[in-house]
Amino acid sequence: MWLPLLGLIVGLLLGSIFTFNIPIEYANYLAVAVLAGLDSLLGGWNAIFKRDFDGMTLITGFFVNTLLAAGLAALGDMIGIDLYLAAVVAFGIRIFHNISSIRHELIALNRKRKGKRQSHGGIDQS
Amino acid sequence: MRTNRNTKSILWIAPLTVVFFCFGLLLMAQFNTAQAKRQALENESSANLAMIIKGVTSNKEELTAQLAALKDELKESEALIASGKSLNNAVVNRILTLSAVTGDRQVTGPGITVTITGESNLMYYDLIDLINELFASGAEAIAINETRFTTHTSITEKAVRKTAYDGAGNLISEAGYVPLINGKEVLYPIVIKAIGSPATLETGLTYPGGIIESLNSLYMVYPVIKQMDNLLIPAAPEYIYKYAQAPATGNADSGN
Repeated sequence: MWLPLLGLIVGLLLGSIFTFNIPIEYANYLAVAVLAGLDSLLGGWNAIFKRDFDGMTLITGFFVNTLLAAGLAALGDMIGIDLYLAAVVAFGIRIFHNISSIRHELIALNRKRKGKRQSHGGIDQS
Repeated sequence: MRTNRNTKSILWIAPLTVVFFCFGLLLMAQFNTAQAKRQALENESSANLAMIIKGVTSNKEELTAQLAALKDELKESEALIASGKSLNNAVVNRILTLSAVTGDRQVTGPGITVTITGESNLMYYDLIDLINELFASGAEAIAINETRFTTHTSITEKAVRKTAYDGAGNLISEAGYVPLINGKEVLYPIVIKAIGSPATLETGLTYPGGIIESLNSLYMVYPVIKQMDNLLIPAAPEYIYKYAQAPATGNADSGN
C-alpha cells in the first residue's frame, strides 16, 4: 500500500522540480483533466476493496478519461458551451460517490476485523 | 499459496503506483498553472493594478533616463572612434607614401622615359649620373629596364669582350664593359622610367652644360627623352633586413 503513495510523492516532487507550466488559457482544461484523473484513481481504489480491480482498466481509464475530459472542455470552449462545468459536476459527483464507497468498505473491513478478534477471544475464554 | 498472493499484490500495486505517479505530475502541473494564473494581471484587483502601473511607470522613467545617458555615451564613443579613424587614415596614407619611396609597391604617374640605344658607349657611372640627376630634378620613383631603383639597388659593370666589324669589313674584337644592375647585365635598349614632373625632369637633364650635353659631346651617348602622361613603375623585390633593427620605442636619438 505504501508503494502507490510513494509513487504519488515522487510524481509531486518531479512535478515541482521540473515545473510543467501549461499556458494559462488551458488551465480550465487541465483542472478538468485532474478531476478525471482523481476520479479514476478513487475508482481503482474502490475496486480494490470490492475485489473487482483490473490494472489495465485503471491505467486506460486514467489516461483516456483525463484526455477525454480535457478534450471535451476544449470542444465546449470552441462551440461556446461551458462543457467543463458539466465535467466538473459529473466528476465531482463520481468522486464523492467513490469516496463514500471507500469509506463504507473501510468501515465494513474494520467491523469485520473487530468481529474476528471478538470471536477468537470467545474461543479462548471458553 | 503465498506466491499466488504476492502475484495478486503486484497486479494491483504496479498499475496503482503508475497512476498515482502520473496523477502527482498532473496535480503539480495544475498547481503551477493555477499559481501562474493567480499572478496573471487580468486576475489582479483594480487597486493592485494601479500599484503595479505606478511601479512600472517609475521603472520606465528610470530606464528612459538611463537610455538618455547611454545615448550620450554612445555619441561620445562615436566621436572618439571618428577621430581614431582619421588618425588611422593618416597612418595608412603615410605607409603608402613610404612604401612608394622604399619601392614596396608599384607606382604610377606622369614622368619621362630616357632611352639609350645599344650603339652608345654607355658606362655604368653614366647611368648613376643620370639617376642622380633625375632624383635631383624631383623624380619620385625610377626604374631601369623595369627594375625598380631603390636604396638597395646596385649599379656596377663587368668586363666583356665585344666583337664587331670595322669599316673594311674585318671582324675585330675588343675589351669592353657592360653595366650591371643588381648583378644582372643590362640589356639594350636601356629604358629609364622616372615619375615626377615631366617638364622639370626633362629640363633637369637637358639644361645647357647638363648631363645630356656632356654625354652627347664627350661620350657620344645620345639618350632619347620622352615625356609621358602615365608611367607604371613596378615594385622592387622585398628586401629582408638581417642586421638593421628599428628600435622598439621608436626613439630616434637612442643611437647617440
